[in-house]
Amino acid sequence: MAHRSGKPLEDLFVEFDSSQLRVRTDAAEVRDYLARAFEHMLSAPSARSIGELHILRSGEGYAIADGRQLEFRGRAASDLLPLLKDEVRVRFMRSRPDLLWLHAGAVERGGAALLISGPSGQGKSTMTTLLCERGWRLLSDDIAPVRMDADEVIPFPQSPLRRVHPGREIQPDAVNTLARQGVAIAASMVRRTAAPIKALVFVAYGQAGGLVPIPRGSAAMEILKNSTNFIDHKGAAVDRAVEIARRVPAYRLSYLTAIEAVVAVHDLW
Amino acid sequence: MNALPRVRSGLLRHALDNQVLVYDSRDGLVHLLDPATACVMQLLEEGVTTADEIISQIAIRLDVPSNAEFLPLALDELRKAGLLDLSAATAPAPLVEVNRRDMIRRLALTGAAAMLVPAVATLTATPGYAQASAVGTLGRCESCVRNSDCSSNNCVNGACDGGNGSSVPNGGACSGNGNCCSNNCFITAGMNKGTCVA
Repeated sequence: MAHRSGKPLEDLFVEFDSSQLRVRTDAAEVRDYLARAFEHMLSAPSARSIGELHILRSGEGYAIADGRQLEFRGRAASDLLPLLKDEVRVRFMRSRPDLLWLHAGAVERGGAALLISGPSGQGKSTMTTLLCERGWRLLSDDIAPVRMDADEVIPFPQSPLRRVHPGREIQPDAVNTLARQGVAIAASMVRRTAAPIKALVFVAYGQAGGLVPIPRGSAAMEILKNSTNFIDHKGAAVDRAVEIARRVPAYRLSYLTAIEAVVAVHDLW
Repeated sequence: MNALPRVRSGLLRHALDNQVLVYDSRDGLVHLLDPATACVMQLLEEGVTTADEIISQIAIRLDVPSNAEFLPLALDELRKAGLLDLSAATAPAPLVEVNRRDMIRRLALTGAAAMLVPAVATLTATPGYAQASAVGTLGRCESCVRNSDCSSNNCVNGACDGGNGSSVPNGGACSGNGNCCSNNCFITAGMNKGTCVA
């Protein structure tokens, strides 16, 4: 792809599990956004690379090296930037089909990891960041890579984005309309190495049910529902979900206020 | 009910407490069977040959009152999940919805409903991020050229639609999560429309 803007390309090296993606862009706003989004995953250049991602200004949008183009079409550039962040994330996910990628946040305390999983808008990032404010360390936000050969989650500590609560009760189906805001996590509050999974919590916003253990079969099903690359593993993913469900206690957390919910989870251990 | 149906071959089963997780590699589906339906499947595989025997075994194994209404409901759940051999002469006919509701109501009157209403939850392998790398699959959001490429027979802008505009790729416009292949519609506060994101 031709680089026509004439501006120098700038590099970011984003690292996951000792492998790097080199992101090259001629757009300062892209560089700045991705540098914030992957603040805790930036590193110096190293030899172990999964490739390069070129994001160049093009027309009214950005062009990505594989020929796709994201265009503004009346939308603010800020609406497109999260899509570029997703591109980075997807590159890593595609580079590691050997992992089971769960739609989950993950935090660590006392050397053990807690996975907070569920569909979008149920409060994963809110719970993750509130737990970090209570001394837990961030392993990942929104996407948690789990090994296929061990009950371990590998850090993917992209900067958390949590929805801004309007300060009044909102209906569950309106949660996804809330704007998201970045939450700063101090480097000292980020866990850099894999951690064994000690508990799974499946969150459901909108009902006051509290933290309730769920049967192992239901837990395995929830793991599979929330895996983003089940299709990579199929039967092996089912085996993996079953193994995790057999060994790791799982809970459903139904809640109306995040503070109540985070207290219940914080007291798990 | 006369002869009992057979369970399909090629199913991978995992017993987890009283529930059973079934992976159907033929269709790429995962099913979670409640304890009672799982018990019926187990009894069919064990070769139990009469409905009366299944009903009495269910009562013994699950420690619940014996109830004949339960079995046709459970078989209907297993049939709908594709777990029975429908090629066999013993395949059960689908239950009429009115009959089904009536049976559940009668089960409830026995006080056994919570334990005995059969339920099978099914999960389809979602394409997730891996959709672009999947080869030869033609489900929702898979790349397509023509309608006939898709199991839904509806190819929209190069992706198989799952119905009602549910195949918007990342970056496309959406009004709710259900529009997006990623099931994630990012809507800025105060706006009606948003953008599908991963």
